[in-house]
Amino acid sequence: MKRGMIANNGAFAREVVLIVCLFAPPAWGLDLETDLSTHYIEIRTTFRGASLTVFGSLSGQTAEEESPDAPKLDVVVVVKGPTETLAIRRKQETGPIWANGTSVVASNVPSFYFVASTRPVDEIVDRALLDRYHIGLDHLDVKFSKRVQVAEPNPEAEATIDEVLPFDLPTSESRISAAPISAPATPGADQLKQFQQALVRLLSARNAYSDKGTVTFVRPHLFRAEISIPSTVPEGDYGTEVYVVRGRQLLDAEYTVFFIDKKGLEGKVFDMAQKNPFGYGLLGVAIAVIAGWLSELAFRKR
Amino acid sequence: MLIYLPIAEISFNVFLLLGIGAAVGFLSGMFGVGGGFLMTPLLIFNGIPAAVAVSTGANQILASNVSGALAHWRRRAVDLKMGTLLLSGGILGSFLGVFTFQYLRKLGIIDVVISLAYVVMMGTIGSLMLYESARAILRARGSAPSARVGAHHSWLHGLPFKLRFPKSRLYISAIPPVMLGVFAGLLAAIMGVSGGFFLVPAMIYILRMPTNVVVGTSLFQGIFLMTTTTILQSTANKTVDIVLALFLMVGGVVGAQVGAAVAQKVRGDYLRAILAVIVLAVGVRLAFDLTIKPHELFSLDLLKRPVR
Repeated sequence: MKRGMIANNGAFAREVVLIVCLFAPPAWGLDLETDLSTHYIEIRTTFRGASLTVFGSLSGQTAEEESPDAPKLDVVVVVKGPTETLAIRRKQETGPIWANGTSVVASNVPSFYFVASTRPVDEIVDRALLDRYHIGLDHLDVKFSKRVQVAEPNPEAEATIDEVLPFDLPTSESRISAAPISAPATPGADQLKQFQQALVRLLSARNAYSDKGTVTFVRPHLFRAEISIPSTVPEGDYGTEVYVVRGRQLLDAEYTVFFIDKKGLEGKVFDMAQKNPFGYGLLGVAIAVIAGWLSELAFRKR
Repeated sequence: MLIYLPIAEISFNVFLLLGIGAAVGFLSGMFGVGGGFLMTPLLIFNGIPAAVAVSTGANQILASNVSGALAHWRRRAVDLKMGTLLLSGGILGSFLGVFTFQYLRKLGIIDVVISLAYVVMMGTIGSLMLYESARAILRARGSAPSARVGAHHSWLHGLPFKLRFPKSRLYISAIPPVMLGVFAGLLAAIMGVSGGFFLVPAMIYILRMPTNVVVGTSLFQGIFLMTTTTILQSTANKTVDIVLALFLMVGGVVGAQVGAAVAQKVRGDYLRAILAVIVLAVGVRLAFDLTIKPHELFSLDLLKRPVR
């Protein structure tokens, strides 16, 4: 295993990074090496999103493997941001109005998810592998559980979700990264799939989720991919996985991390809001009163 | 020019922020309504998370209220005595409202209650005001002299604890203002607004205060309600974004000054009519949103922030 030094958070993150090779490279055969154009992104006043490049090289192939008739090499890049817990709510008709009815709690949801590949991932890798490594928007490692709703207008709707989540809260969870092919398509599984698809759809609309990135080979053994990050991402650790595939087999993989940090005035504001909320509230009130008073002074008729 | 908002976690156009703040501030200075019911949808429409929009809106409304109240005060158009009674009821009402809010949340019907509350309040108040002010305008155009709203007294005025309110030229019981304040505080806590859109018509039609004092007094009372809300929201939910609030405030206080100046020059009945139309329009729009099938049935709610 190749290892860098253990990464620290904060200011030292730039200096040391963790690069882990996910497979033990054999003494012969393919070797993958990757890195990022930057491992540290600062959010400051003018932050409007960022982009970085993941690049890497492949070496150690035999002449036979390099011939044009041999199956091509493909590369898949997956970036996952820090995870959060969300409620997914669905509106339903309650009398004359549309109001939130059933809601499902999704935990371990990545706040940012980006996939780039040389070809669409379904063409490169089998579904089972996509599930195992959680590659792709249909294969996220999100846990769903039911939320207790006291005023439930349509008991039948709840009953069908229970078929997929037959346990009691709060300990029950259900993983729905992909319905097993052998399982029957129950109405409950269908309903849950709707929620899962809504989650992906809504987060994609915010540009937090994307699976349309491309990996290009600029040389026969050198590839790169652009990762674009919207301004709405949270601070934290962003894990980047790079996979090399040939003939639907995973040959090698690497994992590295980059950090996003709120710094400067905005960082201080954010920290204060989290750590000293009462003082922060008072500050907000004070600013408002002063602003109001000053503006009145400025506009007073002479 | 874009600026990053740390709590909303989005980079935003500075001029758009100033514009939204100014528009809402103008309404605040002119009519005494805090503008919360307009500010929140405007911000959400532009990508600010709903919780941040509501909480930060309270902070900004506070600034506009201070600015507008001071402006009206300079023109001797604030009844401090009445305002104090209103706000003492308001603080009590907002505490009651917070508990009611939590109770409704547990029942799972808080969203429906809030939306319905908006529609009912806006619809009834808007219609009543429009009817009354239209009558007043027509009467003024006719040969008969327009009856001043403040001329009539109702049984409410005769309740015990009567006090003199020189600014409003009233001698009425202290109980109605306090009760109105409590209800306004309740509404403010549940619906996330400053309560002005209820208090302004209530002061005009129930307390029979002269229109030119009503706006300033409503703004004065709003200052204390919004202070409570800002501190509560930042402590409990950590959803107040001071950077966002700052830019909204700058636009807002300027707008409030302009609004206050314009308000003094417009006749009472015209003011009431315009306000009635605005309130009705918002109510109709909300009712529409509630009853037709939305494009997107699903929505997301952040329960736990990303773990650092």
